[in-house]
Amino acid sequence: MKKYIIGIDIGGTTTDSVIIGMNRTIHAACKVPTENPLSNGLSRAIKKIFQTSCLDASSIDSIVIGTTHATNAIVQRNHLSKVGVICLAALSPTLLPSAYNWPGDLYRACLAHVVSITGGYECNGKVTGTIKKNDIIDACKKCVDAGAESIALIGVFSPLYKEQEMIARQYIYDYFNTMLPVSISSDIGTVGIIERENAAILNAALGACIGREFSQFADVCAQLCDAPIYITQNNGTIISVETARQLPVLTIASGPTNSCMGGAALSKHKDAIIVDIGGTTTDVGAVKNGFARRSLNTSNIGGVSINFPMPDVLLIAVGGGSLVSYGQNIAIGPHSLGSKFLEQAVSFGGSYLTLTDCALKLGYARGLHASMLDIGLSSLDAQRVFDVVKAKIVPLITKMKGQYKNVPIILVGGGAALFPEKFFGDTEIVPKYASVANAYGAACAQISATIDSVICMDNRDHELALMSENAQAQAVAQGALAHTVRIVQKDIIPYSYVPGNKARVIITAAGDRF
Amino acid sequence: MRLLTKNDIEEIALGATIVGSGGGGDPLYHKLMVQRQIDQYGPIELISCDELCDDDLIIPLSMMGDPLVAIERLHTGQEFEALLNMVTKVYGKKPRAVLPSEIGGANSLTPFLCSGALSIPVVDADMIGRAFPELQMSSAEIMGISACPAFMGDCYGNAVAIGARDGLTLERYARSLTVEMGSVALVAIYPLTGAHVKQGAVLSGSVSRVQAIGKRMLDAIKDQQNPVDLLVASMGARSLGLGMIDDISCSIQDGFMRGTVSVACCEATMKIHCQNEYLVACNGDCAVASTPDIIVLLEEETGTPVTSERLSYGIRVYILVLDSQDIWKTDKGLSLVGPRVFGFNFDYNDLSGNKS
Repeated sequence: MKKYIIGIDIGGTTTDSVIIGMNRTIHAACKVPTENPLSNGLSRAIKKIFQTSCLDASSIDSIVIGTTHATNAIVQRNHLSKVGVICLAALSPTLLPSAYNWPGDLYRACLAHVVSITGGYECNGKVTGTIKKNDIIDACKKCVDAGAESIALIGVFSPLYKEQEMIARQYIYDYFNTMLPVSISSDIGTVGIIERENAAILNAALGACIGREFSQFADVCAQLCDAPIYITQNNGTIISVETARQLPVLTIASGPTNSCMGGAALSKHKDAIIVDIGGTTTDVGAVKNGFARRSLNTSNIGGVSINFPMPDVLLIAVGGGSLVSYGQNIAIGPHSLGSKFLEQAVSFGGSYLTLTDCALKLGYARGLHASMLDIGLSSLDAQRVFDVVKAKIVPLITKMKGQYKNVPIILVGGGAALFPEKFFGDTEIVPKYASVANAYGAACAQISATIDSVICMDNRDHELALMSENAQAQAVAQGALAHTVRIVQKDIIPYSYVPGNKARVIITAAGDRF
Repeated sequence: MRLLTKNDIEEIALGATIVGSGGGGDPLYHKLMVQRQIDQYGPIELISCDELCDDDLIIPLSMMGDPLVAIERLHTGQEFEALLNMVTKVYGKKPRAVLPSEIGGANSLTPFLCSGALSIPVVDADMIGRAFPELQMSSAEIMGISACPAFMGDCYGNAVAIGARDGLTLERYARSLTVEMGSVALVAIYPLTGAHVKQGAVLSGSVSRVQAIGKRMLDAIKDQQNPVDLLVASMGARSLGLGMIDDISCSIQDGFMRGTVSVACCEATMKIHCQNEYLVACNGDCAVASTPDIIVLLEEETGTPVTSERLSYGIRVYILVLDSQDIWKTDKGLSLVGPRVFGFNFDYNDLSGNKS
């Protein structure tokens, strides 16, 4: 009976939704402006999609939501909580303080206080310092006095030895109850203390606001439909609302991942470059063998390095709502009208010139219902603007392509309609439903299972094969279709000087839900 | 003498990573520490070899141990103070300057980590011209200078002075001590006089040399030119292929990261054998490049070098080979760093194109 899946993307400008059947065809799609709070736009989007599709809640199997709001919060330094950083590091000070090369405004938005207390391990598991409950509680109190609303706990070598971080977190929960949320670094990142610490701080900073929003999503959906709801994470697979609340950093890059997977699926290509043109930014990503390409182990978000798996995406602040100035030099963005576009853009009666206005002047974007008021710049200038857009975006596409010269370029996102055919290259494709590719990607999101365990490397190939089988079996147990399951992540961190040549291995398998 | 700014450090770090042949550690963390020090104490003095007096005491410095530990347990600065105090105690006088033992990788910046706080200048020179995993692989060894008294310092502020009878014994003792010190330690070997330096115990101008490489790479990346083309054209690099890393089989044994990286290129699967540094590149069973030549893995998208502890399944890399410095191609040099020393059963000169 329940035959349909709703996929939703809550972007900076619009909240998009699709209803798809189990055969992955799109039954209906719609867009509404993103609102503040986000759950208002979500509610509107779900009501509208029911209306447009003539379906009701009883036929919905599940709702999957992807959102870029965690990224936006970091990039815009907005809706972030102040964090108290507690380092379990017996050796301090070191030559590099926490968050040393963070951009100043992000530092001020996130950091309330940093304190080091005794703790931490050597690489072979020897305890450098025993943690003491009083030290931890006192450190928390100092952080709270300095304005911290949550805690990030970082212990030296915690990815290999989790106990101290877990015990410290339990002490804090026992004392403060739920008043002081704690992010522990070993839940979030791997070896490499600076990047792992950055990720833990960001997670703690995102926790309150984004966490609250995820809860509101669950409430709104529950009022409209009793289907389970899921959130998409960085690798394009689904997580529960509860997991998303605890570990919002896992959702940071889910937007670009969804647009890559959605764009590839809509155009039925397994290898492609995806160019997602939104209201404020353009993201260029890549799909290899049907999966969003992962970047090197350190990525950068908002000017800060982190080390958990992220999709390989190049971003530029050029979008449909980007403010344009022309004259001697053309400037496009970085600021954009965002969701105020329909009120404030020139072709809609407002007074701000945007990229969309330039497109209308050149006769592109014919689908838009704009007034034909005088847009105020000449066709020649509008063409110059578009030349600049091409000059900014094509190099990103070239970088993503690498050696694959003839790979298709899939244009998706609300801004895809602003460009004439083949604007970005001969292999360019704009699939049907391109403007809701993100929501489609969310609807089609896979299920993953991760096994994180210590194995003996003497018998390496055998152990890895066994773990891979287990990961795949778990993915199937959670609902993935067996014939679609593949290994998507494999990380090996060797332990030194522990007898038995051991290593920590993290393997993720993912497969289709339907 | 010139003063080094944060931007100079940026260039030195990149150039040093290229000549590090995968080893020496990612200089990112050291770079940030040195830049912070410049914020705190001002630009750093880099002096040339001719500025030294004959009886000056010069201390070469490097960090030794496990690169994975170095990115997790950060330096405290106590390593330097403890070691240099021990040097002063043994010699009865303070050192005039420090210099990098190896200019490859993070160790290129090691001596700069203390120069501000301890007000001690760095000499524009090194003793290897690249990175090599073992202490006796240095220009001072070739010149016959004694490695000892050698010194070690740890992050807790402990220091050790070692008088070993030969370089290989020193290497073994130092490795054991490094393990005890938590797998990372500061080491000073082949203490030099100004006279030694002027007689050729060091490779003069190394810091400036790698800075020039780094600067050109950064300019190429900024101008969106392919840095691979730059290395091939201006440094005579050879390209062995471009491919995806599809297997990494490394483990830490006796303080070294040893293993094999498999790179799936279109034409063939290349295997790079490493012991901290990338030592030998093989096409199937056939060695096509070997130590002492420098093997570089450049990440395709960014053009930046990938060091052995930052290897990751799935990234695409160019494999390039840079010619070794002449000092290592001599008989004495090859006896210290040729492929047989690392357990491979062929000689550097067996590879076509390497006849010296």
